Amino acid sequence: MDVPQMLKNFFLARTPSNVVASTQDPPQVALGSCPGSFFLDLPNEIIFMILKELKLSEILRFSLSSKLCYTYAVPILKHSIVITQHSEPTFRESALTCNRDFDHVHSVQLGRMDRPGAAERWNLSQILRPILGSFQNLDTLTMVGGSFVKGWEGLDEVGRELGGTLRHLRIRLEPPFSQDETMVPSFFPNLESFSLLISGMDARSQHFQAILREVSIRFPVLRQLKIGFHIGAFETSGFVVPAQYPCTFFSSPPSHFPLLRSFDLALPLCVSLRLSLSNSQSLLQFLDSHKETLRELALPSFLLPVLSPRDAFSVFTFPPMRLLRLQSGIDIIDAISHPNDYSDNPIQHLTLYMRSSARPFLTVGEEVRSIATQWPHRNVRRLTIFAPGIGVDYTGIPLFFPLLEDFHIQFVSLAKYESPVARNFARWETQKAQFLSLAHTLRKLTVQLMHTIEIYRVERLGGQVNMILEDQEQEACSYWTS
Amino acid sequence: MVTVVVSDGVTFTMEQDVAFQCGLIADFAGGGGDQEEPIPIQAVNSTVMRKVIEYCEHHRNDPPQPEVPEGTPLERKDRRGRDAWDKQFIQVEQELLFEIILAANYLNIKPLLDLGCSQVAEMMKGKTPAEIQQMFNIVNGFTADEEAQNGEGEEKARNLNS
Repeated sequence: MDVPQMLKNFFLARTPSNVVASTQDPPQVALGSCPGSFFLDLPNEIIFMILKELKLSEILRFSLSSKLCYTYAVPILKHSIVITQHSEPTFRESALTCNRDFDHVHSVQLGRMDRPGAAERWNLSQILRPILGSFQNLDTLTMVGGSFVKGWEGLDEVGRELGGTLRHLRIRLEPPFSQDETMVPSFFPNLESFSLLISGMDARSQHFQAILREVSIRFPVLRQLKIGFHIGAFETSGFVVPAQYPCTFFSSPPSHFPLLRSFDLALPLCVSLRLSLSNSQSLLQFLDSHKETLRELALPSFLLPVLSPRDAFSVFTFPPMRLLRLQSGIDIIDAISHPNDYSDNPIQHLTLYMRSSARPFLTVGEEVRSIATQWPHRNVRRLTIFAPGIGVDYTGIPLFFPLLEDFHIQFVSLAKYESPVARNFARWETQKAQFLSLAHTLRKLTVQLMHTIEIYRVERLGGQVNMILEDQEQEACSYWTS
Repeated sequence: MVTVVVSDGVTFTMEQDVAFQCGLIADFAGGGGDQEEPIPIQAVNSTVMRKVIEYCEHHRNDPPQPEVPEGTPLERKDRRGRDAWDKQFIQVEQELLFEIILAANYLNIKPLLDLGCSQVAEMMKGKTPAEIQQMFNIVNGFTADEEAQNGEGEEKARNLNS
């Protein structure tokens, strides 16, 4: 069943006379309420809070229970929409009639994430002006599936049409990356979060570097930045190592975002980044220039040109940062997370990637213990470990994090058949008893065994085969709480 | 100690860490020491205030929420999880439930407001439009034509669940 399509039909079909303009402009006439209806006597903002707890189908049912309920539900139902190539003609037609309902739309997702096989390539410029330009209050644009823009000029096009209102943008760039040097780069004065996925690009090219330097000028209030590369070279057996992706983004002169709080250099969980020493220096420069504002940092699992974590610490001198959330491979986690004062490490969420071709997995538990004792993480409340889970003893780990509440062990695979979940589950049953004995030292402990499955789509772009991460599925294998 | 007097004239005295979970009282008292004058809470009656105090006493030792925004959907879902005591606490008559929500909103107790809203949402889950009308005592107000369209909408809502 094509759920967004059904919703879209509903969205376009009904235009009652008492539709309200937005959540800031709630219904004034108490149609359909009657004395004693405690629910409808609640303030509008509380009704909206309640409705936001409901699933789409439940909001739809609520909207059909009375005319007044309908007016409450409309802004929420139409707040976020999905446009697919299939539904594009209907939206295009509706845009021509200046549909008032478009004013409710604040968030648009282009394409579908959950159907990797069905994703068709779709250039955003085809619908930018005729459809997206009609959403006067659009603040969030998310491109998934086969949707893309062509190079930096495509990004400029988005900026010129929507730059004034956008606050959140997830965009996928495809070649060609040539740019008219005389053209003034577009400006996104209100953009707070920017997710940039780059496909089919040779990131080593000088042209790529030159243009990326302009990125920070375009986004003066950016707080969250995520940069991802789709994978070019791929191995399907064992753990995956991509071709070398130099971190040219960090090249001198370094980009600087004065308000940057969260930085995520994103690769799929199954992938490790081969980092050269020169690239690592660029990355360190970038982090150093943002150390005052950065609170969340996610780096991929690295393959380092060094032999051990201790060597990594000597090579990678990370600037001291007051991070609250840190995610990275175990090879460099201690190098990143150390504060000036080791007794007061502020990190609350810690995520560790254990996979590394450099060391056997059997040492994972020992490595965590080593890090935890050397650089105490006293404020960690949530610990997530991505690991194969074979032969690993996790039971002592909670002891090193006195405030730990949530401990997640995640197994990652490229497809369902790849992970030996059943075997892990059997091992889990024996470990649970040990967690139980440890839990009395902690205020609360929840341990969850999860299986994350990454779903990829294959595309040929820029002369190379790209593996594009489309979506993730998660299965809870087991759950235990004190 | 902090003393408040509610709409029906009843006076409640509570310890500061309990009282200061109410943003309104904390603001009123200015974060200082003991309050000599009772603080008037005119928008809340004694029945509701008892429930509010019960909630605040139970959660008096809760650590402040960690300052970690966003996160994955899974994490956000976890953060909103209610414990067993909360679930039991909020199982009250509909009228009292809405009064607790209004009180939490007025007194500025965000976790209690979230709990109340979450409970109302729970009550609505799986209900048909007719059942929602009945539960909340709502008259529908649709015209005959709109009712006909609603039939299609209900079908869509069912399909969304399938």
